[in-house]
Amino acid sequence: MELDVSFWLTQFLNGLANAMVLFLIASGLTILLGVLGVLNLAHGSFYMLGAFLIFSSSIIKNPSWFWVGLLLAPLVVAGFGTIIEAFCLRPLYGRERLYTLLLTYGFTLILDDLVLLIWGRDYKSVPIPALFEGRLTIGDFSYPVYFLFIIAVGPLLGVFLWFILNRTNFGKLIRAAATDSEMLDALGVNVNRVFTGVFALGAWLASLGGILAAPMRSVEPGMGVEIIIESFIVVIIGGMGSYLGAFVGAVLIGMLKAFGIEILENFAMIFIYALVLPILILRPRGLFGETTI
Amino acid sequence: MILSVEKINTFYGDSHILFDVDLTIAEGEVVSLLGRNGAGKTTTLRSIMGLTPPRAGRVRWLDEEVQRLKPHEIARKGVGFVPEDRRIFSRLSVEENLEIGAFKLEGPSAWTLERIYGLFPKLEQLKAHKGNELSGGEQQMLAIARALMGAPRLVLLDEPSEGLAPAIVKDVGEMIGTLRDEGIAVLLVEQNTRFACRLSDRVYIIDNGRVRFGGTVAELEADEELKSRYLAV
Repeated sequence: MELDVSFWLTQFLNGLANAMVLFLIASGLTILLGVLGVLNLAHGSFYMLGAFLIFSSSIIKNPSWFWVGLLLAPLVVAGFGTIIEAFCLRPLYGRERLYTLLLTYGFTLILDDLVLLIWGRDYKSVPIPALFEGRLTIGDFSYPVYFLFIIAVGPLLGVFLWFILNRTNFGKLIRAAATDSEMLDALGVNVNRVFTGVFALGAWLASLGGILAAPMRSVEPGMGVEIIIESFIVVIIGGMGSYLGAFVGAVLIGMLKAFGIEILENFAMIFIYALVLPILILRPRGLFGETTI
Repeated sequence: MILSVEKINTFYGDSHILFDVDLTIAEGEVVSLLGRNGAGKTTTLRSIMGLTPPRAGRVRWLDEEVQRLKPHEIARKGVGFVPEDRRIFSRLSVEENLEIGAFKLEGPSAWTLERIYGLFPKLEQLKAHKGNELSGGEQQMLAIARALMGAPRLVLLDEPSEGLAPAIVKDVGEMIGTLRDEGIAVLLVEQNTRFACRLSDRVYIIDNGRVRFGGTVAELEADEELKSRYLAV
């Protein structure tokens, strides 16, 4: 059997592009878990909303549609997330976690139906923005430019997130709230505002993931539920509350899927669970999980 | 009075912890709240801070009732909180912990990082270290300094000497002396009676959720029965 280098390179890059989208969803999910202790099942719905909003903006016949959508849609979704957090989630923080799980699960159902109602059932495709059309060709190897754009955006957003968490006041408050939100409250910080900010940031990231993924896939209701499962696996692998873990976990899952499909066409998920199992046994808090929460 | 606690009753779920607790603190005064383990000392501080709000009774800050306010609102009035176990933000550096303490202030403050480092040079040496890298004594120093960064008029101190070596306890005593010199009122919760009496203007004794004594240090020193009954001497 001949080793086809350009084929494997393509798979590798595909895996990386998918990993970057997954990272955007999982990083928000993991910060939310770390700070609020809330598993937001509706997080995938923000991804879906991002994808549908960029679809709507792609109908505008102007080359700037993608950039306008990329700028505005995440803000719309973040605003929507703010409302959900402040009015629906906040009253439940003092209660058992089951309530927030049920509530956010309820939102996935509502948002799926809302999307059906507004955009209809048929599959939608979003064109690749004009700037990134075409393929990059080096010798025998050729690869879509848009996927390379995604691969570059992922680490950039990772650095952006690192900057927010480690170099801004908001980030300081997020990290403090993750350790001891009651103490933060007693020091005069309105912790509810920090929580809302974290939720909005997560929604912003997830919808950005949906926008970037839209031209690579079909846009359909239910795409949020699909991605939330993979994102949750990423969070488990990386460790709850660790965005570096989310990055590493996303790359691992992206690769396992890209190469797993080549080995066992319909059963690529087997490899993912085969990875999760030993991690859960050997490092129950994930690869980058804190030893104390 | 800067703070008056009037007949507060506090519960954890169904358990009644504080019964009609009264106490007052004047501007700049150092007052100790003594009592055995489980007497209700920490609960009193949590009630004042709004962390476990009293179900009945009043907490008055200057002329205003604050017992229904949230902890961050009470903190913003000028109350600094130094809890049991210090509760340093373990993943933040020493300097970040201090900055968080000043976050609630809107204008410029008399308490700058430079001034804190001047008072506690040790903290400047440690400023880049993470909270979980500090010793117990260093954490206590940081917890007090973090409260100071919020420019408080009253500091609630919960068992600052607990678990510290005698030499470090002396340092903590000096820190409380610094607070007094700055005109900051202190409500000091302690089990270490001798340590508390040395620093205080007045003393309260709490037992089983009820205030059993309130008076000067001299009055307490003179009453051997009171001491043997309510304090582990």
